[in-house]
Amino acid sequence: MDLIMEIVFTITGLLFVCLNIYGTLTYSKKLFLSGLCYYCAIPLIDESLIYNTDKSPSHIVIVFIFIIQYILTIPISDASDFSNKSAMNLSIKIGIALVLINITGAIYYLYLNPVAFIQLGVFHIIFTLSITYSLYKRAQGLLLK
Amino acid sequence: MNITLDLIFTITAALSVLVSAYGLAKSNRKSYLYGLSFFSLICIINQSIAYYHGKSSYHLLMFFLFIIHLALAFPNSNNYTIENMPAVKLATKIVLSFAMINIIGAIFAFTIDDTISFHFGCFHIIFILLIFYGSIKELKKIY
Repeated sequence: MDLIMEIVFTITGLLFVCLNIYGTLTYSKKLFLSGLCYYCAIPLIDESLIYNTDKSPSHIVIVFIFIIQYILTIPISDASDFSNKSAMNLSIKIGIALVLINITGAIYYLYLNPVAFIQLGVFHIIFTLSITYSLYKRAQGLLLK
Repeated sequence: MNITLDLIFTITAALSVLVSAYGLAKSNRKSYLYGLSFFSLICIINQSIAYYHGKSSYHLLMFFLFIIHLALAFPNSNNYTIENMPAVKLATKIVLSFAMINIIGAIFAFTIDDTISFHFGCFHIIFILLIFYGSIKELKKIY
């Protein structure tokens, strides 16, 4: 059961990571957000299953953290450009929050949770780098469309 | 927790709730966000002290959760109206995140975390109510 779950989570996680990276490289906001949004299902399912066995409160916090990531990354069309300063400020705030969420995820999967799949921690590091790269590109004047 | 520290945290948290409520009543976005930011700052200090004493991993995760809250609530010079739909859509996502963070804060204060005083759970509930009141107020402007 554990091995099957690990394989399923690794393959689907990898697919969403690739989708996110592809979105970042092609400046497609929808693909970038879709990768992050659908990925949230993996830690949500994983942590809910583990919570059923050991009842540790850490799993509830992680579940809520990924519900927040899901809310922040729902791929809705908000056609904003650099002239819309308010939307820019808000999306930078969301970008910083997403970096923090993925740093938390990486710390949790690599350091705090000894029974977790290490691959998930690596995926979070990749997401952190991808979001940081898109924030850097935005600072340079290139915007995801 | 130390009684003096608890008293200081309670007074500052109550003040931040009042600042936020004032901001909402006067439709002043900056005051509303200042209240939320100060409150998350108190929670960050509270959780780091709890982690220092207890070393439970969930204190560290709650600490990160309130840092995320602070990042989202940090007040900046944002001046947008209901006509600016991209900004409204992004703000809706942020407001929903505030609600989720305060719900988990209230659950922990009331049921799981015995290092946090009961009234902190009440402050989280008040923030949830303020967030929903603000959302209803904004929705009334759209419809």
